[in-house]
Formats: sequence, C-alpha cells, structure tokens
Amino acid sequence: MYPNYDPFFLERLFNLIKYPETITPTQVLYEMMVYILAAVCIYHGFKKFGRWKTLLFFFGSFFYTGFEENIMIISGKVVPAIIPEFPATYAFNYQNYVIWFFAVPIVVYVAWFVVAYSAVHIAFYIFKTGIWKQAALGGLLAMEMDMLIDPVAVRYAWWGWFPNASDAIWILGDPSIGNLGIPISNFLGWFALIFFFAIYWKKITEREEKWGIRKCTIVFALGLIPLLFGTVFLLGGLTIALSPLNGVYFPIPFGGA
Amino acid sequence: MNREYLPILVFLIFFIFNIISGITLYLGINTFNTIPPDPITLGQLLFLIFGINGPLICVIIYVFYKQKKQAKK
Repeated sequence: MYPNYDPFFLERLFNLIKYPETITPTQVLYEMMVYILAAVCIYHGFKKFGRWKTLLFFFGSFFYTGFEENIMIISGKVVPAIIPEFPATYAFNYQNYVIWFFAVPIVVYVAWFVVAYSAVHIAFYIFKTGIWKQAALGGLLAMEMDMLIDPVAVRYAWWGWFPNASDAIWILGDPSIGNLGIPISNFLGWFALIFFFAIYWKKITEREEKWGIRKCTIVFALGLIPLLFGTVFLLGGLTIALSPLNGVYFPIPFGGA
Repeated sequence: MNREYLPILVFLIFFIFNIISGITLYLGINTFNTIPPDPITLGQLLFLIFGINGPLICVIIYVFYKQKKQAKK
C-alpha cells in the first residue's frame, strides 16, 4: 500500500516529471494507450459535435477535474497542519506516472476525459432527450467503471487513500490485507463531477446560436470556476458530514483468510 | 464501420484494460513499479468484474444490440 504523501510531495509539486529515474517502458506504453483513446474520442467529437464543442468538452473536463483533484489532494496535505481535524485525503504515487500537472498525472486528466466523454455519449445514445436522465446515466456508468479501477489501483499503489481520511464509509476493502478500502466520497465524486459537467456542457453549447461561440466560450470558462468550487465544497462537506460514522465498512466479498 | 460505435468501443477498451489490470493483480504480476502488489482473490476479481460491473456490462451489450437492430433497419 502507498502509505502516505511522498516525502518530497511539496518540493516536487511543480515538477513536470517527479522521479525521472523511476519511469519504465510499461508506464510510457500505458500512458500512450490512454492518449490514443483520447484522440479517438476527439476525432469522434469533431465529426459529431464539431471542433468547438469537442474542445470545450476536452479542455473543460481537463480544467474541471484537474483542479478538483489538485484541490482535494493539496488541501489534504496542507490544511491538517493548520486545522488538525481536517482529514488527509489521498495522493497519486509520484513514482508511477510520467508527466504531471501539480499533484495529478496528466494521464489521469486525459483518462477522465475518455471515461466521461464515452460514458456521456453512451447515455446520449440510450436516452435521446432529457439531459438530467442522460447526465445521471453517464455519471453512473463512469462511477461503475471506477468501482473496478480503484480497488485494483490502490493494491498496485498507483494512488492511495489515507486511512486517516476520516471518511465515514469505506467500501471494497479486504480485511485479510488490512482493508485498502475506498471512501464512498470518491464514488460520489465520480458521479457528481460527470453529472454536473455533462449538464453544464450541454446547456452552454445549446446556446451557441443565440450567444455565438465567443460568448459561449467565455461564459463556459467563467462558469466553470463556481461549478468547480461548488463541487469541491459539496464533496468536502459530504466527507466531513459523514466523518462521525468513521469505520463503517463494506468489504469486497470472497476475500482471503 | 459506423462512427457512432467509436466512443462505445473506447469505453469497452478502457473497461477491458481494467479487467486485464485486475487479472495481472490476481496473478501478482508487478506492472509499473517496484512495490509488490497487494493480492486479490479470484472470487474478488470475479465479483468486481461481473458483480459490481454487471449492470455496466448489460448496458454495453444493450447498446451494441440496439446498434445492430438499427443497422438492420
């Protein structure tokens, strides 16, 4: 298990590459694969929605999820030094990824775009109308995908949830190896981010004819800031609100001894 | 190939990639780093794929079925 923040977490926070000596061909291959999948999504978006809407989705998701993750990770490191009750949260393993943007690997932003875009597209395909239904299904699909990603990733120490993250409900752990569960706020976060982002993107891009591309882009970019902080406060609030229940825990069944 | 398939295919590839990661974890293969992975049992792996992700698999099958039906029309 990845036990804590990297010893040089703050010193290397602004480095584009954290530990050049630990980069392996497998890592590079993995990241390339995610970039290729993203390129396929962008190609599809250009053909289906046009260049502007697709780039708005790409850069919007990049900014929205990237800053949300950075805020959650860095605040978990910095704030407990000032407010001890504030829980440490999680961190990506500095030795596991190639290129970084602060505390989050670039490939994670891109993978988020890939999952969000494809999940939302599937939702659009199933429900032809009704953005709330579409966004909810997109969020649920992505959240379910993460329910396979996270338990595997924490056991590989790609990233780690800190046991003192005073989250109420931990799920998909394994008592035989000392839990390694994932806080439920992570899955709520996946749902919330994609749900809100999909609605926001659709609502703004629908105004293209009325407002024009320039105004839509400015409104979209400016509106992302309150949306971002709203989501962070919602997730942070949920984490704190559920904290007194710390210890409620649903393991993956069929574990070892 | 119908271009509409692409995001669905991407989603499927990403899903399969995660299944492969789960299988390598079960087999104890060290993929990225030098930290030995914590194990997972076969039961847990199957539960994660077919239990937790069962609804997701159903949605993917439904979408492909719908595509095929539309293509026939």
